[in-house]
Amino acid sequence: MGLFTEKLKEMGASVLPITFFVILLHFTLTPIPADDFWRFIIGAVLIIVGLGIFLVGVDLGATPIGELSGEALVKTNKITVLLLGGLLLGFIISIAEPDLHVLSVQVEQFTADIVGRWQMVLVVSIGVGVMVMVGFWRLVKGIRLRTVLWITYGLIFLLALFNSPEFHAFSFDASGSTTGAITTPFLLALAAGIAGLYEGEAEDARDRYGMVGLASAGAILAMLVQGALDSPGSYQQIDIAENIAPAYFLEPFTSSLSGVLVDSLLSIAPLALVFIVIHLGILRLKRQSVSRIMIGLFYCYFGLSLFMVGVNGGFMRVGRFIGAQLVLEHSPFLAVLAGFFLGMLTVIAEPAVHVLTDSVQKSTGGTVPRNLTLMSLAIGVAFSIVLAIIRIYVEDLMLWHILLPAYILIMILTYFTPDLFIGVAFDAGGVASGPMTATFILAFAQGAAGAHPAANILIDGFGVVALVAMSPLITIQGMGLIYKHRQRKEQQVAASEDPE
Amino acid sequence: MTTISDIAFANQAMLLLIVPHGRAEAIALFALEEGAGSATVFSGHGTVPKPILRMLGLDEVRRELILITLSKQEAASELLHKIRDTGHFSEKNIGIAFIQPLLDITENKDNPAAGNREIETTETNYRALITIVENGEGHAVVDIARENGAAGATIISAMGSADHSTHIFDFDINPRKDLVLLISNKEKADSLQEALLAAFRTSTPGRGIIFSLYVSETLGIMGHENAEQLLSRARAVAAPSPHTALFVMVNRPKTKDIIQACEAAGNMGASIMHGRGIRHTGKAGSFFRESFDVERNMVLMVIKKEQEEEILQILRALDKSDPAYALSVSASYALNFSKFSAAE
Repeated sequence: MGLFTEKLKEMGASVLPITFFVILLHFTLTPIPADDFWRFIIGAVLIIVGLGIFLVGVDLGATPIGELSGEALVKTNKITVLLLGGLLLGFIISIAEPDLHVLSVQVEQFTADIVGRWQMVLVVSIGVGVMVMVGFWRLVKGIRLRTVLWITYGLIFLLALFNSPEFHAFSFDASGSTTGAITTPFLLALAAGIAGLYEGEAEDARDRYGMVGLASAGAILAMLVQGALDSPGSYQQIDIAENIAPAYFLEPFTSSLSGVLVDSLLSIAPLALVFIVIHLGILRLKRQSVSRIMIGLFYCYFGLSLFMVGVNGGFMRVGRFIGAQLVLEHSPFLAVLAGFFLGMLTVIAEPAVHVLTDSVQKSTGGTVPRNLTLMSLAIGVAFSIVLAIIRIYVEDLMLWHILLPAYILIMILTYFTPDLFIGVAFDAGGVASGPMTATFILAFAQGAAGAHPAANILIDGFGVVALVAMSPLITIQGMGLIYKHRQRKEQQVAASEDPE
Repeated sequence: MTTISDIAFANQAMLLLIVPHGRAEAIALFALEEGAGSATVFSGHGTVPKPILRMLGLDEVRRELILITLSKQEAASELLHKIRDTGHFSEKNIGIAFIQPLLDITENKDNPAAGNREIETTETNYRALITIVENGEGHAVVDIARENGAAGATIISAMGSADHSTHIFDFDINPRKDLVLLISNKEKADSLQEALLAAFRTSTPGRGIIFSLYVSETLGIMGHENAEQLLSRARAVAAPSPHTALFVMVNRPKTKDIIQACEAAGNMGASIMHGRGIRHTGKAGSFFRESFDVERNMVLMVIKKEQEEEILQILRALDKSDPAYALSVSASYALNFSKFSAAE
């Protein structure tokens, strides 16, 4: 039981901060209706247990599958097999991502069927597949991540010129929604499986990271190509979910249950498929390893379902309510301040964040501790939410007014940041925009936008995920720079102590 | 303050502790305060022998391995007791610790080959058995060990040194390995080794190795020795072995150099483990403290006695040429060394 209790303790420590913060808001700025308050508490408990089970499952199932597939593909020693494998893997994990389907349904309605649901899902999945392929190619050819990123983001900026502001939001949001709770650990492990094989060459952990970031960029690229070729001229209003009074106390949980069960199954399915193919086709693992991985996948499924029921049933309504109340009842300053803490504390409860931060700790032999990455990430997301709320108040602030200078800064930073932190930063961008952001934070932002008369709930609602995916790129690279600086100083101290 | 290079080749004892995850840092810092030469922390995992947990896939527990080098065996013994007395290590079943006597490899300038190699040790009933197998087979090793009477074991992820015969996409591939460390009764150690050899014997070269080490003092092995009994034990000269185990600690970016240099001297293979060398910065408790430990690798090689002096010369030369290696080398008898490859 050791593994599970350990994870449970860790997850308790991750989910309790946001829980206490919402309780604090409840007693100070935004008193929450009693029913919703208790649903929130139930939701928090479900999230803690769900996350604990999910992360045990990732360790047992998703990570080994990723590492094994990466290894198996490289060991074929055929570049065509490797590249096609990358394309296919990227494509199938993306096409099964529930968040992407949710987003594409919204986009379909918003563009009056011009960008159809399946069209968008296919376009994004091809983009992800191509970039995973590029990621594989980069790894085996030893090309530095920053070079690939400069080219990719150069293309993105170029294509963005030919797109409308609405499409900018779709594209950047798509990048956040393709890298979900299951996809991210899988992609991380896939890259680790390949990089680990020739780690003796480089002897540090830098090449493990960046794959999630590339997959996200693939989604943006593909959507921008789509928008440049076939851009809808006008957009329709669609209904954004409002807080409708539930029929009975547990209704928010039970009503989301069946959808969640299907979605989680869809997320797990590609991994199970990949595992069956590599097990039967290439590796022929021992029975015990197979059953361990299968149990792991089951934990992933069960844990993710619990987590999602908790978020959908307990957190979404409260998020929307708090967002609306802050804008209606309080000054912009308080709303921004609350958003700052809400963003900071919510991202700590994001499932894939723990997979990434643990992985960084492990691959650096413990010298980049988990909490350091977690804190940089949290500060980044805090600023994202601040920006999102400022956008609600300031009418003329377009998404690209923020994204363009920010990404220019990010690209400049990559020139100075150590390679390890570039990879971690770009992966963190994909990791931070997981299910917790897509539900709780988005609901909060939509609630706030809906309450502000001047705000456009659609324009301001879209783009939140893009902002969440952007800020960690700055803060984690910043952490990398501080780390580099401090390390150099420590080394000087160590050298001066040395009599030689 | 002694620097790493001062004591690089002068350690006389190595203290190994296996503790629950998260406790290593404090113990390592304590050891450094008490005058240990170096402390390196690796993460690993153990298993709980409960069938239900096994079935549920929940039988793993995270552990940390701390490797502390000291200039004297007596100092190691003293430190072990201090660690126990200060409460870092007091509870039952919280972990195990043992002292491993080292060979004297200090350079003798007049006659390099004439170093005093004999080690005196208090003989215990225990051996530390180290098994290196393919990645994923660690669990099977632990299972077989349990069937043969071992109490438990710790698995640490490692990398094999590159197999130069196969290049994939122009790279040397480093196979992933599991290193299993277990403590066993002296009497059982041989049969255990036989059982493991039988289970993993194969014709594929580079499959893995198995050997054991002398243990001069133990703490925390359930229901067995305690320290008081050990102190009264007579010291004896350990019987020499034709193989030597070299534990080379090196800054992570320099690992490849070490392995290449040793390969040039005829060493056939090595295992690499990632860890962090704890540095005592005097700023304990600060948030950044932990992160300014250095990434260190342990390169573990088992070499023939004849190769020993040549490889040690090479390592000494490297150490003097560039302090960035931050080398620390310990040598010990590798008892009953064998490879799993049947060809050997």
